Amino acid sequence: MSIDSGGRVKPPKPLDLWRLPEITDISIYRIRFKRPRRFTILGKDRVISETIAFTIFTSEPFVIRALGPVLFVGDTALTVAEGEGDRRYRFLAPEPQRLKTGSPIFLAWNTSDPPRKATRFKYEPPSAVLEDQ
Amino acid sequence: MEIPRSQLDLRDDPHVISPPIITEPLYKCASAVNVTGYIPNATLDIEIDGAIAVSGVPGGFPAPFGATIHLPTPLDANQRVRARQSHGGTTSGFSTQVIVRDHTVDYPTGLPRPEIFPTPLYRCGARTGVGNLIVGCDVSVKADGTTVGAVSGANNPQGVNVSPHFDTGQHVIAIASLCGDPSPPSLEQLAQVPPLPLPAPGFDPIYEGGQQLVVNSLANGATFTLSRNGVAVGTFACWGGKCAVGLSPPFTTADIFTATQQLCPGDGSSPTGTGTVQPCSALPAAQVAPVQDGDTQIVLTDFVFGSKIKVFVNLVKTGDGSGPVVALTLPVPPGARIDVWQVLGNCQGRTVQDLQAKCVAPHVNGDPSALDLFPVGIRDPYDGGTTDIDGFHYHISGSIYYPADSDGSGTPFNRRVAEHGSVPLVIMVHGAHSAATPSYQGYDYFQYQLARMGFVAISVDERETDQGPDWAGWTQNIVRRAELAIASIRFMQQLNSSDPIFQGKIDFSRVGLMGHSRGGDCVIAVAERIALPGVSIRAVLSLAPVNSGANSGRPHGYQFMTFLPAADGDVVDNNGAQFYDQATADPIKTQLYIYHTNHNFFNRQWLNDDTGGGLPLMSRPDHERILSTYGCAFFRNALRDEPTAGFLTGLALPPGVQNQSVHLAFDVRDARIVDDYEGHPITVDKEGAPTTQIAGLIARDFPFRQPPGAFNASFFGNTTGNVSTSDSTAGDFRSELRSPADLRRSEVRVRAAEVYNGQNIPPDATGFRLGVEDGHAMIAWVDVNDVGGLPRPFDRRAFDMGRGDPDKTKTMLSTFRFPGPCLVANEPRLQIADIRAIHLNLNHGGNRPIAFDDLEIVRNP
Repeated sequence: MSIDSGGRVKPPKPLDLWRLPEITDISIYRIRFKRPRRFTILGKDRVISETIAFTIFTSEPFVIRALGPVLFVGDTALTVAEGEGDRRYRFLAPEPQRLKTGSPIFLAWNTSDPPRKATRFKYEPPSAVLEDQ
Repeated sequence: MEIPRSQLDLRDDPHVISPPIITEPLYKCASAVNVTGYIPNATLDIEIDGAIAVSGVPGGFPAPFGATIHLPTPLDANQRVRARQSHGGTTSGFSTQVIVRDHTVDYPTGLPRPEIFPTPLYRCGARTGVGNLIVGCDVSVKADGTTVGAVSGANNPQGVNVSPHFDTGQHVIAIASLCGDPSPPSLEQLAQVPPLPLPAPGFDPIYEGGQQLVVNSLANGATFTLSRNGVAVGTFACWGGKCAVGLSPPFTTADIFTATQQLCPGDGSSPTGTGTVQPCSALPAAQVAPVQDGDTQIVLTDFVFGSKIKVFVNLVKTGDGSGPVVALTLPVPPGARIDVWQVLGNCQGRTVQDLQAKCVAPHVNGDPSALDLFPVGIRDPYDGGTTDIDGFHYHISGSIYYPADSDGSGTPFNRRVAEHGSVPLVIMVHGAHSAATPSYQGYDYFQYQLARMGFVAISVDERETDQGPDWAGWTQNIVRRAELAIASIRFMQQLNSSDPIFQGKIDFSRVGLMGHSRGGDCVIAVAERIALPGVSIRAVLSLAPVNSGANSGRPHGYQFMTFLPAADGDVVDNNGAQFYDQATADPIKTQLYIYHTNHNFFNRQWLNDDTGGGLPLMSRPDHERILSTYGCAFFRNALRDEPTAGFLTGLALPPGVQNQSVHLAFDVRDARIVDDYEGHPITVDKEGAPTTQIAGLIARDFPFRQPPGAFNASFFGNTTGNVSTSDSTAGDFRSELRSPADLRRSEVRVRAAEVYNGQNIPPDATGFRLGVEDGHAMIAWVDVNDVGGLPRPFDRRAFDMGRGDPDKTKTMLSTFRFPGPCLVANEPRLQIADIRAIHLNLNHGGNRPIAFDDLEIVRNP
């Protein structure tokens, strides 16, 4: 009699789409773009040459998925980022006047009413100006 | 519901038998017609242009595919053909008359392409099935170029015996012809070595009194030998799977059937399979598809081969025939009681299937994805050079599927298609996923289906936008995706101007887009950004899209459709609802809210379940089937003006789809909008006429989007609507019409949903009824349960909250149709041509809120 009892096949480890990295450091600065950046709002493009930027350093890369990450500065959501490497992302504030000094900084995914992951950082208006290449 | 027949007083009038059914369409030059739905062993007559052309043909058993009756002379165009049956001394009325058509009108680029099935073919296979045929055509099977089997006057499908039998490595094709016009060859099959030993054949349930049994588990092309009580009754070749065999005398419970199967004699026979006969008392009732008022036939979804099916409408015998479709002698009256009784020889089923005709119960209709006309050529990848967008450098690449002269890579464009004119273009854009995954290849099944019916279908390789630095750009990433897709369209224009395969083949005035996930947002942006001369976007299918602001959020200027997977584990907000709400019906917009589907399984390359097993899902093939059927219906209608709009507006259901999980909202351009609850107080309707809240009903306008201001957090669209509640079952919201409406050939439509309360889903369903009021204050009502019923919310609370998110269980509105004839059937005194107001009565009471929007009057399609 040769009856196999069967070997359970381990399912692949599910990808955790909702995992957010830790922010290990933040650099906040005013930035002037040599190549003006395009911001699209409701399908209309506008171009900005200067804004406030938040470069975040993360513990790991974001999971590539449909939704994008959001950096909340208080209740102001910054959704447009520029990846500068696997663990370094620059979020841009198209409307810097909405940023409030002392606002706590959170990370989240871009859904309605998302759970926000707290960080140890708060917003302070930058004095430094970076000339972007 | 299956109930004992003894509960009913069913008089089996032997003089009432159904007209049989002629398989449509019929074409000129066909040398045979096919007849179904007759009583087993009835005789059949065929009448052509008023004269009996074939008389008294023994029909034998009507299952599984009817009787193919050969004609004395081939059919000619415009002839009128009908059939009748005779059984037990009674002759039926004639079937509906079928007018013979010319296939060159319906298929100007040639006959449909035959399909060999089931596959693979095996060495020593003695028979194969050939489908996708025109009834009455000639079909032949060739192995390595030599004809090994042929049938003249074929059925569809048609079994073809082959001699000599297939051998390993042979290349096998099928070709059909009609009027000397050959079809393209079928997809080539390679005969293979079968897995040995073959399994023992099995038997579908056999019942006392029957004379037809079904042997199953048969290998493709195998022969099987059937014995009854140890005595061989015959050896039969079978295309594979199941095979029906008729026997005499009728089966008794003492009978024991055995069968073995084999392919090559040297391989030996399979083990023996055994089938026993169940007593008459075990014969079940047939299963019946939903019946709609006015139906002239009953469709069975399960029945015993060889049985008679008797249909009683309001307890009066109205049909006597056989499955799967029984024609009725009279149309089904509104709300009629239907009882279906299965009889097998002398065994009279003890139970009947009992159901009620509904006002709206769309039929499962022809498969919009099944149109198979041409071989498919593929170019994967195409190389369109490079482009730079926002400082990112991209390759313009992807895959092209197109109608070809033969299957394969780089084969010539189909000559007959080209002679007939240029063809529409569909562009597909995938969403964000690991850049290591060839996401653009994940819709190859859909590209293939579109190409074989005559579209050029490309899928753009946007993996370079999935690299982290680009992907993180969100809105800007999606804008770049759109511009990269436009670069591919520009490249297709170049191919159309000079490429040896595509020169002059593509009609850029008929372009459709399909995008998934970020691609679903992107394709709306493509339509708004594209400025290529001569390109006209006529259709956009946005599958599980995000909504990033990359476009206006208001799809317009084209036909629009969106899919919202209710179990989406990535785009958990189902943002496509926002696009649907803001879209212009131009001329149709459609939303599919699809239970038990996730984000990824529409793309074959996206392997992970984005719910991580957290929500119950239908299978991956079921996901693909929804995109195939609804997607093909959409592009065929929008780009080729084919009559598939019924699938997009709730009039028809595609076969092989988990239709119970698909909830449609739809709108059309020419609707009379009674109220959309936008831009005016709830006290008046869109026409400026007053509304009234009656018997304690409370109605308020609310944004149907996320808070603030919403009724609760379960709304995820982007519009305003009416949420009504009523403690009393008399609570009624009355909308007066500015001018009288004539509903004789029109219907009232309203979008509605059970409002999810944000906590739980109560065990009992709720609902409402819609009424129309005439000039004499007479009101006729139809309950929503008579037109489909309010779906219960799709519960994802535990899944969402389990990962720390808010509950994303949604209030998602579906469109309900209330045809005028149904309304007047419920109140014959109603003056249906003089309707002055529409009522929404919350007849379940209990203060259960119901959301309403888009109260419209629409002329019947």
